[in-house]
Amino acid sequence: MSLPPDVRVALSPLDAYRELMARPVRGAWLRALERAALVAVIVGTSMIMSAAARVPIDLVLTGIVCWSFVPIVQALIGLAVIGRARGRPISVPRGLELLFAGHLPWSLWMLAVVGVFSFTQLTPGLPVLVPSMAIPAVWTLVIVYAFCRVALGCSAARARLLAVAHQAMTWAAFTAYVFLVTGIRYRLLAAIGA
Amino acid sequence: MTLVRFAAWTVLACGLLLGTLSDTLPERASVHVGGFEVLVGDFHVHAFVGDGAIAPWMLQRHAARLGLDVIAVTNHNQTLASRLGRAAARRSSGPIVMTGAEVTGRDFHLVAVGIEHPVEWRQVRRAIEQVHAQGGVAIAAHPLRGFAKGYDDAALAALDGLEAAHPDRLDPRLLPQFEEFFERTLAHNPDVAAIGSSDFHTNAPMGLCRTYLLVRERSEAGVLDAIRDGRTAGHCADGPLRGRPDIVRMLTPVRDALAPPAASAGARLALALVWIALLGLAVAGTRG
Repeated sequence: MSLPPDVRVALSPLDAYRELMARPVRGAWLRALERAALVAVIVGTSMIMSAAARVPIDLVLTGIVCWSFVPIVQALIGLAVIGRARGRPISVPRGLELLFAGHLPWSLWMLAVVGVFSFTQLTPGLPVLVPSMAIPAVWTLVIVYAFCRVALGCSAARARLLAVAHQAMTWAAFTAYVFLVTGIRYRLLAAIGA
Repeated sequence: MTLVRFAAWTVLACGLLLGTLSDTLPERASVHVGGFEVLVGDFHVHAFVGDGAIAPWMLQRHAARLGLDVIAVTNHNQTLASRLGRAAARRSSGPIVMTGAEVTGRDFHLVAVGIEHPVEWRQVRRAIEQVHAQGGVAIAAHPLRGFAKGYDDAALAALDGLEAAHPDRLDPRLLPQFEEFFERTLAHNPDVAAIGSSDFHTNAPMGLCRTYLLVRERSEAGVLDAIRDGRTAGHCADGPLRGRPDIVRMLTPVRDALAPPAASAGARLALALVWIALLGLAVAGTRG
């Protein structure tokens, strides 16, 4: 039995994207939507598991709806990157689908964190969690480079630039979210006298 | 891979079904001490649309699962989430959901309970005055050094309560800072209410640290009245009760009856099934 595409993308992204590009597909928008919906399910359910340690369906569904802004932001960033690749060999929805196929590193990180909180007595704090994010971040950078190189048909230099831009936008969005919803914003504003 | 994907979705459905069927609310007879009813509260709960994970309109039922009678939704410098939570809660007879905010300044954090509108966040004394003007109570939040520097003597004297029990207090390195602030506040404000709060965001369980209140009536007014009068004690996990000695003496015999209920075996199994299913879905992806 061969490995699923998402695992192949994670382990050998250049080869996996070449293989996926060779496959004819229909219904690209629907496939892209399915990909984004799967991310919403994983993120939303994980957040509820971590917070509530219970999984009644109403709580989980609400969590999925609330946290669906995550794949929406990811899709918007993906659209920005795909739109910058002139002469790409694939359609926009096919590009989104292939980009979401590279979500495994972050999905695994999230499930690992939820697993630790849910099934062990360990309660790792931010000093552990934040550095551990480097693993999926670097891993995703490699995958996005391969996506730009193969799926978007970019030169190596252009692919590097777009991959870095993709990650910069992702982290900017994450930082903006943290800045908006936590108390950090007020500490900074007070510190600069605003 | 189709088989793995199908299996993962099936396990997810089974996990959610089991999680729903095992989602029963614990029954607890009301507890009375010295002519007061004892309520269990958590006054530091963050919600989605802020830095909490759970939507405000789902918090009331979650509080009921954990044996809480009252919660306050306290996002940073905003009351929107708490007003949404209260509006949803008023349609049912479950725990009381109170409005509030965690007033967040550079050198202080203050939990305001029972307010409708955000208050001044740059200066703690003005914040406390505005909380009182709205009929709310002001509680010093996790008074560790970085969050307590803004409290001068006048601010300490004006406080209605302080978080004497908080998850950070379980860290032995931080415990002395809590104790030092508690002693400093008591010197200016002997009747200050000892509050237990979980500071619930995305993982510390809601109600891990909780407040026991001696109320004259089970209502928002009764809760605020108990805090103003210092008829409270804070409690974390299996630690000691923190509060005025007379209140602690009254509550000690009933403490076990107020302990948080454990999750059922069905709920724990459901959690494991859903986790395994998500792992399967993450690996199997969607159509190849």
